[in-house]
Amino acid sequence: MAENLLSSKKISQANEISFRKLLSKIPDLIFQVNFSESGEIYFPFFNKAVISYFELTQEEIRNFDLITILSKKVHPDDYPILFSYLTSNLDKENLVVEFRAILPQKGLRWFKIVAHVEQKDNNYQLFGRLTDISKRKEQEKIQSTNFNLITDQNSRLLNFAHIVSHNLRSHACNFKMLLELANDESDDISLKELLTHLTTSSNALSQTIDHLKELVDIQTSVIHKKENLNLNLFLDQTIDILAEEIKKNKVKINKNIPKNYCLSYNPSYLESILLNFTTNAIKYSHPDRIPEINYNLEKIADNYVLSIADNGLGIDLERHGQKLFGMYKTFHNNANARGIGLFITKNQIEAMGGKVEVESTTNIGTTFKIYFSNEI
Amino acid sequence: MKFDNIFVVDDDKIFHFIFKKLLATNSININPAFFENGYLALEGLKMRVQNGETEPDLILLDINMPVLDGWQFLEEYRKLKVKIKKDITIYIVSSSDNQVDMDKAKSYQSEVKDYYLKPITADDLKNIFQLKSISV
Repeated sequence: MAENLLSSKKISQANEISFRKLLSKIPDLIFQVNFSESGEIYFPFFNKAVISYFELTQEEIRNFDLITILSKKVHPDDYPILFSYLTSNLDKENLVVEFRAILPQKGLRWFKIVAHVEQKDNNYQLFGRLTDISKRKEQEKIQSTNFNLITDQNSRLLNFAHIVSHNLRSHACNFKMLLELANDESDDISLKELLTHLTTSSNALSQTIDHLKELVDIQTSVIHKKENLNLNLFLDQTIDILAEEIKKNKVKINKNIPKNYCLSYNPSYLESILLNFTTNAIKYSHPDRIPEINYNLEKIADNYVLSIADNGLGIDLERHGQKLFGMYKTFHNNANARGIGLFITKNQIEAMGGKVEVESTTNIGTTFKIYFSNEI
Repeated sequence: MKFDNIFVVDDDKIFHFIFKKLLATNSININPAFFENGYLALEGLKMRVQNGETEPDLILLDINMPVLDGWQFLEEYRKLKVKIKKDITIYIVSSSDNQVDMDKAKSYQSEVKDYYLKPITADDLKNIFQLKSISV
C-alpha cells in the first residue's frame, strides 16, 4: 500500500517535472490571468517565454505588477481595445484577440491571444496562449498592398483599353469614310479636298498616338526616377517659366509653403504638374477680377497635400466632375483647350503614389488638392 | 424624303464634311445645321423655339463632345421637350462601340430612336431617310 503510494507520488513528481519542462521550453507564451470580483487583475502563472518575449527585466518580474508593466508594452492605440475586449467577453468560453506591442529590443510586434475562460463565483480565470504573429501580419500587409496595386493597375489598364479603342476608332472611321468617298470621286478639286481632310485626320491620329505613348510611359515605368526636391524652389522655377503670362494677366501669386519642405518626386512630373495647374488657373481666370493663385501646403492624415486655389471661372462639377480628368475633355468654350493636360497630370500624380481632388464653384474659383505619397 | 430639317451635333469637323459629301453623293438634297457640341446645339434649338423658326425634325447626335456631351444634351433636351412643337427624331451617331454607351442610349428610349456606329455608310443613310431606292 505504502509502496504504491510512493510510486504514484514518484510518477506524479515525474509528470510535474516534464510538465514544467514543457512549459519552459515551448516557444509560445503561456499564461494564466485572474480577474477577481473586486476588480483586481493578476497573473498567477506565466512561462519563461513571456519573460524573454516581452523583454522583462529581473526588476520588472520582482515587482510583479505585471499589468502595469504589460500595459506599457502594449501599443497605446491597442491597449484600451484589448482591455475592454477581455473584460467584456469574460462570459464567453473562448477568446481570440490580436494586438500590437512595442518592445525595447524587438520593436513593434503583433501578438495573438487564444484563451479559455473559467468562472468561479464572480472570479474569472483566463488560461491562454500568446503567439507572435508579426510575420503573418507583415505578409498580410504585403499581400494587401500588392492586391491594391494589381486592382489599381487593372482598372488603369481597362481605362487605357477604353481610351485606345475610342480614340483610335474615331480616326479609323474618318479614314474609312473619306477613302470611300475618294473612291467614288472623279472630280479633281473634290479629290484634293478629300486629301486635305485625310492629312488632317492623319495628323490628329499621330497626335493621339503620341499622347497614348506618353500615358504608357507614365503608367508602365516600374521605377520612376525620383529625386529629393524642394517644393518651394520648384514652384519658384515654374512661376519663372510663366513670368510673362503672369505679368500680362496681372496674376497675384501667394505662396505658403515651408521653405525647407522637400519631397521625393520625379522632377519632370513635378514640373509638369505645377505648370499645368498654374497655366489652367491663368487660362480660366475670371474676366471681372484680378487673377489670384494661392499655393498652400497642409498635412491631411499622413499625407502632405499641396493645394492650388484660384479665383477664376470655376467648373460646374455636378455637370463635368466625372469627366474632368478624362482624356480630350474640355469644359469651356475656349479655343485653346485641348483637354489633355489634366488627364496627363492626374496620371503623373497617381504614378507617384498620390491622388488629386478638386473643389470648385462656378464664378468663384477652383481648388486642386495634390496628395503626395508618404512613402519614400 | 422623311426629314427635311436636320441638326448634326458632332465636334469632329471632318465628320461634318463627310456627312455633307455623303448626302450629296446619295442625292439627298438637305442642308443640315452643324453644331460642334451639345451646348451650341441646345442654344440653336432654343433660339428656333423662341423665334418660332422651323424646328429640326431630325437630330444626329455624337456622344463624346466638349462642353456638353451627347448625354448632357439629352438631359437638357428632356427639359425643353414640352416647348417643342415638332416630334423630333434623335439618332446617336458615334464612334463609341463601348457597351456602356449603347446601354446608356437605351435609357433614353423616349428620346433616342436608334444608335448608329460610325463609319456611316450609304446604307445607314437609306435607313435614316427611309429612301425606297437610290440606285439609278
